[in-house]
Amino acid sequence: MISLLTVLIPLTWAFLIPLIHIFRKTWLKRAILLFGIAVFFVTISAAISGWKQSALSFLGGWPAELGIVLIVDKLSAAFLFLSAIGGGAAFLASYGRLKEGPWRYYVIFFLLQASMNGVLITGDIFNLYVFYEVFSLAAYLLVAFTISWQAIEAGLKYLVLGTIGAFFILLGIAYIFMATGSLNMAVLSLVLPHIPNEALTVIAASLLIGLFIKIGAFPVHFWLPDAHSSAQTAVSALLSGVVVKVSIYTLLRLSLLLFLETKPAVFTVITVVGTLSVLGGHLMALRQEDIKRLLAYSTVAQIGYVLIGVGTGMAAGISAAFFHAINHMFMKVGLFIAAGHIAEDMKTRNIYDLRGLYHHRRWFVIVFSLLTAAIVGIHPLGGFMSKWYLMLAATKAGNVIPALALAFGTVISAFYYMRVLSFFYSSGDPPPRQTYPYWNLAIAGACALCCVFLGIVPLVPSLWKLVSDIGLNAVDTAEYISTMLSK
Amino acid sequence: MSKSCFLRIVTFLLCLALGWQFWKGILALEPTQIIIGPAAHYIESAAEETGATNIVAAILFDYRALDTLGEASVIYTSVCGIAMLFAKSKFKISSTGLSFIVKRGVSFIIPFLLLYAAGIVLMGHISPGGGFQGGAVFATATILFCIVYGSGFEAVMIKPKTKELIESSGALMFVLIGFVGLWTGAGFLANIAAGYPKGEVGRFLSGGSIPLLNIAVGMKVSAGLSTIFYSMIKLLEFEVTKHPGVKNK
Amino acid sequence: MSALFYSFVCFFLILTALVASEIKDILSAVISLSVFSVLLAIAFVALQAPDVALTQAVISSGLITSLFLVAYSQTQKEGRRENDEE
Repeated sequence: MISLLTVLIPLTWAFLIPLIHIFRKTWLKRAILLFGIAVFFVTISAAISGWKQSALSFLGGWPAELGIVLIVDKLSAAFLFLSAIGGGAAFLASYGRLKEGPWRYYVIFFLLQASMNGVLITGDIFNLYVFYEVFSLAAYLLVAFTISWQAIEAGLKYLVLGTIGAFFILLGIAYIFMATGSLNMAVLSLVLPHIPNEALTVIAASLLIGLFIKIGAFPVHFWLPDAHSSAQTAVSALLSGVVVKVSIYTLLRLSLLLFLETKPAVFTVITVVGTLSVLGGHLMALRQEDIKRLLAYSTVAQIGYVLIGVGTGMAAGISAAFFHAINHMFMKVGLFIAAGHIAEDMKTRNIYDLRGLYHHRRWFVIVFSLLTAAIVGIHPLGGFMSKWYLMLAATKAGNVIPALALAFGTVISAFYYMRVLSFFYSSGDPPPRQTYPYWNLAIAGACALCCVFLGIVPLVPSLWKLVSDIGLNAVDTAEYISTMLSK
Repeated sequence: MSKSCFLRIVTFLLCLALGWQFWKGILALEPTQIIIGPAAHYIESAAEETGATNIVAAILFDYRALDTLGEASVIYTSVCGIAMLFAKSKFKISSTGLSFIVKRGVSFIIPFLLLYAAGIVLMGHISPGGGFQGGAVFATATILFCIVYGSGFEAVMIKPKTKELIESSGALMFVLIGFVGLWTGAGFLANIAAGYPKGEVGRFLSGGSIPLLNIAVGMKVSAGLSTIFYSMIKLLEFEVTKHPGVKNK
Repeated sequence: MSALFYSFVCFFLILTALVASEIKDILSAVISLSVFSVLLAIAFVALQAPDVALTQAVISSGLITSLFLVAYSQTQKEGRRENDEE
């Protein structure tokens, strides 16, 4: 039941906020803070309870073939944990900056969280699509929130390309329904092997194209740099850190449940697209002078890493992909919050104008350097560990070229991140401004510390077992099916 | 000019190729004479299990009610977003109303239009219709107000804050009706199993929670769509003094 | 219904969709989109789906067309609009 509350509680808060605004405007400040904290705790407790034992919720009391079932297994629990932390950090960052002024922003924020949790726990493919659309729509609106012309253009581009992606996903789902007549993912996993092969090709192609557009993988990533760089600080952190991971979860779940035995070519396609994203993202980031756009292209490349892990189709690869996803969430949230705060403070996003930042924003630059070291992959930090395990998994699955691309990409990323840091540490004399909010620094610092902690995780066997359990559970589709259809 | 022509031809050929692939995918499925999957169960037993004769309403509001909550959230999100994007802008020349004959004529039609909308919403479980359709017709009525009488009139008759109130209340009503099911232990958004009275199949008072959910969705959709339209034609200042009953803001 | 009816409706669906996406005048494109929606609603009725047809007719050819026309009218007037964005 608590898994249902992860969707319902943020949804109820989103519906309550306008009523509070109409009747008791003075309660709004405390109410919003309380709502955000409550959502965080509910999601974490749902993740923990789903980890210990797969939790099922039959909505309306109907069995799995007739109605909608919500299921939390270890993969969903892990991603719920990720979404709780990322959402919580973004909520704190935006609350610190906006206070309770724009109440519609918080309505859309809570709807985003509710629908992200809904995507992560649902077991029905059309329900997945509905919740996916809700959070995509909320993401489009949050990008355009600042109503500057840049933000609106970025939001419009995101809207148009995202709707095209959603169209392809819906086409795939319509084909699935036409071919099999049922919409429950466990039932589909049993029924899909009996469909003629051309229909399966069309289904796989539509779903993959749609999901790649939504994830932002290389050939169709054009909305991502604009959207992630033109948004506000907290929204960029949320988009790069959490929204992309939820899309990757969708790809993971659908390809494992539906295409693992029937069409293994899907995983080859995912690996190829991942490799292209790594190379494309890093090469495009080399040419950027705008710091937030550089971070956004870096996101494209890191998505490529995770896709290489997903494309192996084996438990080790999926565990490594999840580990890199959670590392990337901490690193990118920290980087975007630090960079966004610096950009807003110094009123410029161009790294040439940010020379000499070290001398008057000392702690920000130190945290930024730590996070950069993590994302490039310096040894004891989290980024190195996750890339190491990704390369191991890719080589074990026989994909040698992606592993080489991964290493090559790391070298390129070192180059452009070091260039940014060299600008920060050089000497220059822009006028120092004395607004020094500790709030954003605290959040970015906490993310950096988590990266350090995550670097130690693979060395502790009990903690690493948690991560590798995720991969084993993800590939074990028979257990998923039997849990779902047991009633 | 030839580069854009070339691009158009390439796009056209790509669309044709895409369409051919999809057509090939459809042809590969052999058409079945019997209905398979849960659809067969819905057709046979929707009326006894849920009490509603309209199977589509039974599926939308009973078997797969969480999807309907999600769809209503989509509308809610877009209304909230549009109101947020247009919050600071007011437009100078909006609608100032049409001529006298049109106003008198529409004033005869409006009650029937509202009754028609209410009928679609309330009878969603026995005839085609339901909350979404009825709510859209309600919103069309407010759009007619804007066009025929001027947007100032509409803003006074139904204030924007009232619309926000109706929308949020409709949404909360939906969730609360679902919570009743959770409380009695039958699962969220359960219908007959949560204790809602089933009634006699085919009568007006039947279907358990389906009419209530229809009303909630109708409230939400009508207020939401009306808010979208109103946000786009807000009036900066009043320039007309011709219609009665319009007060200055 | 007969195949002739379906092919008639499909032909005009494709025609109005092409007109809506290719024509230069925005007003004509919006009206063409509205005709497309009405034809789609007729097709839904012929396929025996009255709920879907009702939704399509009211929302798409009623509300969506009016919203497009409002957006079109608001962006065509230069200099007579005072608002703080852009």
